[in-house]
Amino acid sequence: MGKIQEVGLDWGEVTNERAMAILNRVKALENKGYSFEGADASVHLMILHATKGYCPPFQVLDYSANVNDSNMDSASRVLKWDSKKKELGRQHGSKNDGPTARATVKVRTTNVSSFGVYVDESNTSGHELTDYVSRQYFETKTERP
Amino acid sequence: MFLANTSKLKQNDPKSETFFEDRLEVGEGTGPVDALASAMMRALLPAHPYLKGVELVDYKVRILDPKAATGAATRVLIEFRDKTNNKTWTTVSVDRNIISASLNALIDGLEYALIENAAMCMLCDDDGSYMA
Repeated sequence: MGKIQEVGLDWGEVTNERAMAILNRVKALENKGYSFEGADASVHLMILHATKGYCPPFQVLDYSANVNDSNMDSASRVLKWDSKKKELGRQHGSKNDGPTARATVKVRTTNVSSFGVYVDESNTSGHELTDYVSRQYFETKTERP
Repeated sequence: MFLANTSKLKQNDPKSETFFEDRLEVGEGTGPVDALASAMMRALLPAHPYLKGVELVDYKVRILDPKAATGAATRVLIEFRDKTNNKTWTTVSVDRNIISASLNALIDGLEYALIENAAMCMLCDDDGSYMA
């Protein structure tokens, strides 16, 4: 209950039924190995997700991750004597630079071109609105009567 | 601060198909978690530029049941920081797939950043449909 009030919700917004569902969820997660101590943001989100009317700002629909790395160096394998160079060298050559993994994510989020989005420049030092966003905004406007 | 022009927002129907969009993005990194973080930021920044000021400051992994060997449950804790106000927050996720645990903790951290700082919000019906 204390956490629910910290989140800024009235107790009326979280019915007893939902509060019990949250508690049962916490118990189930703790049995799974969760420890929420120090991870207040996760507790905050769990309560919000159990609250009627909450709509997350985005949803991850699916993802994939691939690792493509031919550098098999380890503490033992890296220390191979290079007789030509007369020094300790790598077994498979140096490939430590550059990315070794590639990931794709499919996210459902608000369509910035469906409504006018602007950035308050006084509070966004270092933020920029990309060309893509502004271009799409005007294209959308021309489509509407 | 990320702001939405609410007067225009009201003119659009949140139930319309164009109110939300699906973005498919690719990211590269020095490992799968780094690559996923990169792809997530590429997918979210156009709609949520506020996230540009959010950085990952700590990433901890702990094995919960070592007896399960490589199939052990993994707990991932990620600490984030908002560069604009130095506020930090931590998220947690547990899964037997360390990539899934990492991505879930990452998603929670980014969602928390948005709901804590967004100047707009949307509401859903219980069935998941959006309310005006």
